[in-house]
Amino acid sequence: MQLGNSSVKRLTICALLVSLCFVFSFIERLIPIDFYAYGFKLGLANIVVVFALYKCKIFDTLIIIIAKILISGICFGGPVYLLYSLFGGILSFLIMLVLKNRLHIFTVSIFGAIFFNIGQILCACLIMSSNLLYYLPVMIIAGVFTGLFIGLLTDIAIKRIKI
Amino acid sequence: MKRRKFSVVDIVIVLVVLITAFSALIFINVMRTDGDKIEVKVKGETFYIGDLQTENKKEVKITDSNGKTTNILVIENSTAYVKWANCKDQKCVNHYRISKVDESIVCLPNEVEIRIVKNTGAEDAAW
Repeated sequence: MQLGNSSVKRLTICALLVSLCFVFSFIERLIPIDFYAYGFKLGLANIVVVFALYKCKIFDTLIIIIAKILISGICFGGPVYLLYSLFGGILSFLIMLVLKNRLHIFTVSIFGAIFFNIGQILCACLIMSSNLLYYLPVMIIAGVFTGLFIGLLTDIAIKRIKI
Repeated sequence: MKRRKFSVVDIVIVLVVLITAFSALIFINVMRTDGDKIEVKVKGETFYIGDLQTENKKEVKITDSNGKTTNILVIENSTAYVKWANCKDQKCVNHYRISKVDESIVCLPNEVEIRIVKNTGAEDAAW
């Protein structure tokens, strides 16, 4: 089910999804469990990204991802954080795009999460010119669980929301 | 739009990834030994090298290029931890104490990396 051809509708839905990303990023801050202590976060805003991947046009999804990272990076992170997220976000988008029609949404979401983490670590390695790759296994395991969680929620959202 | 059904392929792929990651994790942890030296890097450049075994209750102020203190590192009982950081996320402050070779605390906002290394050269310690 693709979006209608009306460009106004398309623009509105994109704007709505971007603001929803922002809301999710904020809600995540309110969850008392401190995932940050373990070096990863849940990434509730990725529900919107996976949702957009299945419901919107490719270009729109990319715009949503970049807008989401810019907004949440400026508000909650720092400029360096933004760069890491941007790298991870685009890598995960490409992987999800490739896998989208081949695998189930859970797996797509899991791989999105894993490659987001991998992208971040690679970017950190490049910027800090040091070996952080031993973080990779932990981040991959974390990615499988957060990705599965996001996939489950997005599956429900896709089934129920008609746009 | 056509959507894929959940199949055995999905389960197998995810399981393979999980098992690989877990075995890598176990492998890394088994290979670890207690470290001797602590190395602090700011933006990829070595800022401080200290002895983990002899320096006890020592506080190291980590500064950025402008001389502003960004993090305070404490070396205590052969372990190291970050006591204070000026950034928002406080990830490095909440990080557990490190003592084994290649364990590290990273502060992404300030680009600070604190790493435990072996006595013989930092480059050999990195596997």
